[in-house]
Amino acid sequence: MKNNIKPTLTLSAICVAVALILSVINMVTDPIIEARRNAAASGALLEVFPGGSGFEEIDITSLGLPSGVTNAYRESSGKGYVFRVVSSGYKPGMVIMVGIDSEGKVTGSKCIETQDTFGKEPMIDNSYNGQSLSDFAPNMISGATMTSNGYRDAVNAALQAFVLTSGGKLSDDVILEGLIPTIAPRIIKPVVLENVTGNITKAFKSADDAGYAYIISKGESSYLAVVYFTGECKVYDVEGNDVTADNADVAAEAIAANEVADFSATVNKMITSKFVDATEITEVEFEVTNSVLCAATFKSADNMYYAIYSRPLSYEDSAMDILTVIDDNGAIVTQIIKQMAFGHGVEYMTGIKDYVNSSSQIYKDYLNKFSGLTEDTLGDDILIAGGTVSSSAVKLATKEAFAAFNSVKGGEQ
Amino acid sequence: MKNNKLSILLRGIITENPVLILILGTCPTLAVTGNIISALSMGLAATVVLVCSNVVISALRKVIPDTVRVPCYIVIIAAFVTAVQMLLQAFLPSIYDMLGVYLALIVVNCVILGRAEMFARKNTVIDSAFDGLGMGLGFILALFLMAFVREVFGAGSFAGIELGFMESFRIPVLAQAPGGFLVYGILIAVMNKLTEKKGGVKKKSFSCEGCPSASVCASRVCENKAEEEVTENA
Repeated sequence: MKNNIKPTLTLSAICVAVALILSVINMVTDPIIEARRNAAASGALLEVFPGGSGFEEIDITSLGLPSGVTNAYRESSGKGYVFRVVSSGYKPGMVIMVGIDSEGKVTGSKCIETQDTFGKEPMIDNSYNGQSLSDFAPNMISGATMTSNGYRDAVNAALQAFVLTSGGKLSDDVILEGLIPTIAPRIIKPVVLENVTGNITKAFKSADDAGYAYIISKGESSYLAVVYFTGECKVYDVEGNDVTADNADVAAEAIAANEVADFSATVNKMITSKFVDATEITEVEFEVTNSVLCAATFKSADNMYYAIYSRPLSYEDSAMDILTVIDDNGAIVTQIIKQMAFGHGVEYMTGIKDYVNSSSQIYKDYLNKFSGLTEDTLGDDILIAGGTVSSSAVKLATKEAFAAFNSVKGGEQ
Repeated sequence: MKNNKLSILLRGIITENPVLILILGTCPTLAVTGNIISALSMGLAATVVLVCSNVVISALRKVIPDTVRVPCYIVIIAAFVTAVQMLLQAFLPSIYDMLGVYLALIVVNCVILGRAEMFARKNTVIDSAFDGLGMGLGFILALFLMAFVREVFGAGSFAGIELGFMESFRIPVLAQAPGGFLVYGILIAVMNKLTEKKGGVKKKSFSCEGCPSASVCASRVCENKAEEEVTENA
């Protein structure tokens, strides 16, 4: 028994003594460690809020801030706020600090954590300075679209969080505008449309002029109306629900406000790029289908050709420009495909741009597949793996080009 | 007497170098020798813990019962490591961040527990302090040598300063984990060659006598003890 008691007591005594000594050291070091941590944290805060005299974290649980806003810090003299926002770039987990002054303008932004590989965040850092919720304009960097999107969403969320934190309420217009990136990702450019009348309060268009979004007020509520270049219009309420069926008047107003682009110039350009000697290019009437925008006839080397210009939606709803040239006998002579939305022109086909570029053999082989095909011989094997969405778009455009061709031919006869 | 202290000190640095001869503390050795600054900080932190724990364990050697000596040593070592950790975090946060988890792992660094078991529990406080210091310096020296080779030849820099002339001669693998093992092996070989001539520890066989710790290990006592324990249990 005695043999057991001594070791137990000794070990216990040592443990107690050690615990006491460590607690004393902890008492000394803990305040210093805490102070250092705060200094490091407010160092990051100062970077996005220059001139701040100190920051205190505020409780945001009851404010209903946009998702992604994880922390909010108030500048101690009330000059503004700094928000920590977790967003998603190419990969999730992009952490961005955004400083906003008392007038609601961005004082600075910095990406402090990211899993993305491009490393282009520093190019976006601080590029939103001076912007506020009312004049918010996304800053996109090519080659880092996903990262730019994530950054845009983070800054937008912080700006909305500012309004809510400083006791304000988000207007329906702001909420609707926030829906655009999810509902209509192509429409990224706010524009001031002239002659906007009636109930339209704000207008946006896509980079390629092929789509529009309007915020339209109707009675007590506001709606987001998205007009695609096909003429289709969808109406959404503040919760993002599709309410097109109940709001035909809103859709009609949006469609009426849509500036229809003149596609005949583009058709002429595309025809003459391939048929240098083309003459008598004449725009013709055709039966309207889903993707066909414009049809024309022209002569080259005494032969009569039909050019059908389509713009189907491809990968991620971006538009693809396709000119299908059909000869008098109804066989495809050639097809010119270019992606318009991101300005790469003929260099890429949307969606398969990662795999296929215009100079590659696959691309040439793919286009050659259409030569000589008629409506009857157009099979289902014109889809290509690795570019399913894009080639489906091409297939749709080709089918509808034949439909348009038939309606033109039928009109002539 | 002074000579004795000096020999205790030198033994740790060269003839019984903990890393290169006794092959102890391999984990931190490989982990933190990617650059010289972290290697030196690790060496210093371990040395402080080693000296302090050696002193305390030696002072308590008559109090601590044999049966619970290892738990006692671990508690004492862990206490010093925790103290060093808290102090570093408070006063040298950059080094604290650099060493990361390896700082806490000093607790299980075999050099420290090894010296407590091999030396401190059988020697006076002052001798133990010198032993801790010598072993610590030996640890620092070995870490520095490895980090020097790996950083200068692997990363082309010295203590974080870029060496322009090394840019075209870098051997990147040295800075990575496999390079750590390579450098470690080569250093052990060099050290063996050097100590062989000076009549250092010879590893002739894998028997108990071939063990680098044979000079400090009272194997006969151990064997007797094992027998005693067996009889006790019986």
